[in-house]
Amino acid sequence: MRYSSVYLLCVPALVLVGLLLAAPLYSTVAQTFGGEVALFGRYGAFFENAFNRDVFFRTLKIALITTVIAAALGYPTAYFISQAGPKWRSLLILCAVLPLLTSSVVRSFSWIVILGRKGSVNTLLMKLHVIDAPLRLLFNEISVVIGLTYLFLPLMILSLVGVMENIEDDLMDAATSLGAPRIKAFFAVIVPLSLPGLVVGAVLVFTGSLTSFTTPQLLGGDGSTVLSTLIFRQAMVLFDWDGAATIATMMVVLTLSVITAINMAARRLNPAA
Amino acid sequence: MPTLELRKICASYGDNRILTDLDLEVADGDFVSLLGESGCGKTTTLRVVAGFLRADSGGVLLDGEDYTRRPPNRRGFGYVFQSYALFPHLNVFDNVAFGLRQRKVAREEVRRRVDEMLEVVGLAALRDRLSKSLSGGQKQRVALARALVIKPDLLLFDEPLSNLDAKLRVKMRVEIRRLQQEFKITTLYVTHDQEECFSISDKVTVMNDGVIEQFDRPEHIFSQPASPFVARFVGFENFFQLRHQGMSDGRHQLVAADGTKFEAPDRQTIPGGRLLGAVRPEAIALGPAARTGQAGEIAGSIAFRTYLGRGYQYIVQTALGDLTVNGEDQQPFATGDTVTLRVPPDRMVLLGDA
Repeated sequence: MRYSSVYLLCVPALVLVGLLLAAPLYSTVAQTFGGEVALFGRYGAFFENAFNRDVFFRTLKIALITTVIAAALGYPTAYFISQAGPKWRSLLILCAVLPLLTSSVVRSFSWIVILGRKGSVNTLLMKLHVIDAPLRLLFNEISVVIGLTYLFLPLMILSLVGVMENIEDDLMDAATSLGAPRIKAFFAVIVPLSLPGLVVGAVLVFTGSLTSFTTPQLLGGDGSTVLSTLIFRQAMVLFDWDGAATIATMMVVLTLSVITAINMAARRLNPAA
Repeated sequence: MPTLELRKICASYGDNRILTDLDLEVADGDFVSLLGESGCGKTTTLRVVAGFLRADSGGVLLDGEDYTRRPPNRRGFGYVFQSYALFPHLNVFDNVAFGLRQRKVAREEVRRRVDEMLEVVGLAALRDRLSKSLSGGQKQRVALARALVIKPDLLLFDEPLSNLDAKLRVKMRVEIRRLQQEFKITTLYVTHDQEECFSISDKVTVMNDGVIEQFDRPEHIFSQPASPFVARFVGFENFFQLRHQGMSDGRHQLVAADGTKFEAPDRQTIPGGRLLGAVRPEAIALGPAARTGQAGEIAGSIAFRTYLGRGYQYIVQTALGDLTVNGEDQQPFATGDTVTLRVPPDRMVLLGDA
């Protein structure tokens, strides 16, 4: 009795989640199956359109590439931070988190200044005579990936540092004393043990990139429409709410399947985690 | 089997100098302990030997070969950590097999040698368990097996038993000694526990503040400490400033500042400079006030009494300062009683006073 009453404490949160998440989610999914169409008819219709197919796979591609780059950049950074002394560590973590304190609009917009025709990158390359004419760096998939990577890298670093900090220092010494060169010891010990952090970071970055709206809207051009900007167009420009709901449902399914896949891969690499 | 030699090792962490000109030689097959309080540099010494820490200067030699700059993975030493440092993502078998796999030993032989070693440490039944699901004592055995299976030239222990409960500690130290003798591996063992150290070592190195105070057999360290620090460390609690007055009756004749005479056995050599006599609390005889005029007699009064179980311990006020004396169980003296203390000549150790 005393213990079961503790569950009552969850009720306010459950009501909130129920009202604000579960109910709208249900009505969104339900909407895609309503009306005078065959079961999954709206999904079939979506994929019959070549433009939609492109958008779907482009979104997936951009999110995956962003996740891989964020992991590649974040992993060594996080290891460096986790190996720093306690004073340096807090400072470095602060530096990593600092970008999170500004709005994503500002952060995406700053890339327009950097990557534009007369932006810093092109100016520098021209002055160094690496190129003769400005490169087209903006309003394409590259600029979207750059913007998203910059946006979500801190989440990757934070998830990894949290896990790496808790890996015992002695383990590296143990591995080297048993005959493993440092680099081999790193892959035999640090990598498998930091996998849980990599999974959390990858899930955060992937879902963030997949669902991000501001960055692809600001940094992407006509040729780099993604699912989130497509939803916006369906709903707010074409007023096709059924279509928008269909895309939204697909995004949820896509996110869940990729998270499951990441988790399964991680479990295979480190069964203990 | 190899001989380890440390020559004038200086080592530091950042600006913090830990070891200064440390010399040590561990003979072939010996079990040598580094004993000292935390911060004395014993673990630092071990880390320098293992190659985890680069010495600022000096040399590490194994059988005359220079190991000073050799990375730890090419030293072939077994290291047992205080924290055990088992790989939490691997099971018992894979933990023990780690070193052999680094050495590209064939699969079949890895299996044979690891299983054999698990048998030796009594863990065969747990070979497939994840290391994080083991108890402290079992982890310790895995750590031991992991270090032994690579047939190390040198076995290094860093306070391996300090995380175990008292009973298990005694059992494990016997086990460690047995394995060390069975495999005849030269061993360097760090601990702050005197009893543990004395019970398993061939030789003991008492360290203080980055230097070696004494390197000797355990029995010698216990009965003939070489410095006031070592004397205090092994339980000498009473110290007298003395002057040497020559020999008579085959004994050193000594006198304290207030004129009290003492004698000490002549097997000790007299260090130059100021002289300090050291006596254990249990070596001093305690009796009712009665002077006979013999050497070693001190008059005093009981200032404080504590019960030790096997007897009483007294703080006795004397002209030579407060002395700590252990008395017999029956008929304890009371605070304020006047007493006479007798220091037997053969129980006094003479030390140079730094």
